[in-house]
Amino acid sequence: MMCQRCGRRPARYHVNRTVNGEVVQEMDLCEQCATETGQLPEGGWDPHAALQLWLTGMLGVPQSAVTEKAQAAAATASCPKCGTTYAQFARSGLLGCPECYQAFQPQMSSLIRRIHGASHHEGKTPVRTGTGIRKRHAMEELRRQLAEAISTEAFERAAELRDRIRAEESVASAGEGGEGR
Amino acid sequence: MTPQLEEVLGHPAAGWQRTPAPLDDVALSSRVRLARNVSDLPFSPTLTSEQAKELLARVEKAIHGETVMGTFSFDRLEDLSAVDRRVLVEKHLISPMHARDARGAVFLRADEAVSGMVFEEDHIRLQTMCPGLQLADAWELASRLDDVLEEQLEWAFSEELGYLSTCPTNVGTAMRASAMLHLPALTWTGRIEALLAGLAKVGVVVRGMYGEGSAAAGGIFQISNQTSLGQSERDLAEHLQSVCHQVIEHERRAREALYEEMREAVEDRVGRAYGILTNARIMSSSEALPLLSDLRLGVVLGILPSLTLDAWSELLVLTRSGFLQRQEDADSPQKRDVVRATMLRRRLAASLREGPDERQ
Repeated sequence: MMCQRCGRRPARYHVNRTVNGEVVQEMDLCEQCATETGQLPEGGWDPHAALQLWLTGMLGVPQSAVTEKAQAAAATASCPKCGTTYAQFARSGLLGCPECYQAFQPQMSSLIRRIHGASHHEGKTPVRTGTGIRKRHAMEELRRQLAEAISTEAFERAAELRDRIRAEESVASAGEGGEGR
Repeated sequence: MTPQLEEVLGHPAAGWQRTPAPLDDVALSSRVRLARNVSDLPFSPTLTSEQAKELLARVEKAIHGETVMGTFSFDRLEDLSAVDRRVLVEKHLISPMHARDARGAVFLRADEAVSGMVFEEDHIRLQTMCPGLQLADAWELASRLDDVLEEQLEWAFSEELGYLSTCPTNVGTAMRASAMLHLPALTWTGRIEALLAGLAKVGVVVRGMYGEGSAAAGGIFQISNQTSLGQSERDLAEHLQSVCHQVIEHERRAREALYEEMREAVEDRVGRAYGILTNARIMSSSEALPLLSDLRLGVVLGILPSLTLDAWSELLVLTRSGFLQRQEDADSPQKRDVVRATMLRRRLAASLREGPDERQ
């Protein structure tokens, strides 16, 4: 799409003029026209800079210190699996591989807490990778029920639960049983 | 291009887009997107071209053809023209970012309810669409599609952090649920700003119709969950559903009040939109969208009883530039504006002639 003001350069910005919450004018502008019409802050709008600003704000690092600090940290913090450095991550907001989550600790944990207000996953667990996790959760639940049964002196129920836990344990020790769903 | 995709690109109406649907006077659609990454490959930004090919081949093997969820097409973006990709963006089947990189791929079912982008910011972004406000249903559908893919692909997952995504903002459930709401009365009365400001405080994000950075043109807003970690998918979907419910109630009350107190003004506005759409000879997409918005309000309020919401949904896709360019070969914006005006006149005249009951 070409710029709707000069008609000569390709449009890079979509600009809305809003009056009382209603978009009254929409225009697609090139960089130069967007700057000339005062739609852009001086020096233009750089999505990477914006993201970095946001990420660094999240990390609680003063903006001016970021590049130097991150670059200094980059020498030590890099992912052993894919080689992505922390500085690269701070610039783009994107990680290189699943291992990066481990490689960039402890900053990653604090970043995730700031973004989500939580640090532990709730919800779906994949069947394939999660088989072990799923089994462990099921066992924990059985043990919890067993403790509860004992404390309330529901001994028949406790015996039943104990047998189920033993059965599960013997299956587990028999090796990787092909558990479906 | 697969015949199934060809068929989808040629039709403005998606199979899932059927009314009546829950709360469809305000809610246009409900969508769930899940980000998934294969465990033994680097994330998309660091994938080599060879690895990207490998990823596409694996996903194709997992989903192309017959599955328990129906038949899926699988197309590499390099086999699609720029216009084809643009139509996919207009139909919300791929993101603008995905359309720009030819190394990706798209898979979908013929009814467009279930689809996925391959090699976007994450390896796979799978997506489900339901008409009206049905976020829990959209999640169930997405989870089933996830199961189908997982039969052959192993996901990057950690017990603590859940599904590992390229950007930590999506980690956990890696779910983005969203509802598209039509809020013309709140926009008209200027109460939308206060409402949007309030929504920011309850953990939801509001955006324009075509996602990040796009304008909330025509009073159409996309409301989605802000965080993805710490709550189950079902809880996130239910929370968003209840927030949307409240927004819808506000919009309904604003519509009622408007129509009660300013009947002539509302009918005038709808009538003018209808008049322009049925008489204009040149129509840009940015002019069409607010008029179509007024038209939908007219349909819901019973001012335009002969137009159906399904016919309206078709108009929304039909008037987009990519679709016009593909159908009518209108390659310049000027030509497209003429074709758009002609198409709108014909469609609206036809819907009036046929009446709502004969339009199936």
